[in-house]
Amino acid sequence: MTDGPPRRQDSRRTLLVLQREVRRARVACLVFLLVDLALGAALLWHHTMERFAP
Amino acid sequence: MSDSDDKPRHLRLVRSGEAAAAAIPVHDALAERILGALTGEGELLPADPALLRAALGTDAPTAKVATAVDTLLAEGVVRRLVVGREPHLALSVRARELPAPSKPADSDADFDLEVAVDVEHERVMLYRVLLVLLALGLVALAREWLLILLTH
Repeated sequence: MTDGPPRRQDSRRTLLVLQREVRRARVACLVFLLVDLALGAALLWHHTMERFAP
Repeated sequence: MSDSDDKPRHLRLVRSGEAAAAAIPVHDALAERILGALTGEGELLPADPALLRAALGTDAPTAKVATAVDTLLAEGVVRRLVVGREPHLALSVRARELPAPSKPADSDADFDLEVAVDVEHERVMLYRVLLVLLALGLVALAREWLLILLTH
């Protein structure tokens, strides 16, 4: 009864912080993935062009 | 004898040495009397209606005593206990069990909140692992490009 509401407020605050962190991590992962894909595709294209160059 | 047979009254059974009590609905004055006689610790009464009538010292007809016993047995308040060859009546476990301690009503919400926090923690950890793997991939690709650009 005495430690119920403050503890719950703490938990709710922790939950909000974690949810924000998850959102940020998701965006960062997406950016990294796109950069990786772009670099990888460019590398593949470069090698292909070099291989079949006249 | 009161005429309140249409409304169930409640008999409070108090176990010896304990303040907690269980409320049992009682529809019948005779049933209330039987329960009152069974309230003590380890009390038994004969299940035979005629013997029970004599044990209670009541002037109610035997058929009515039998009906009261049947009702109590059907409600699960009283159980039959055979000692030797004699069937007896004793308070059932349901009647003896103490009322459950009142839980705080919001403990479920607290638990759900804790579970949600744990889930988010796990998700953050997984995203961090994924981020490290992607960063390693990026480093490997950058290294490849650096080598290509330097050799040209």
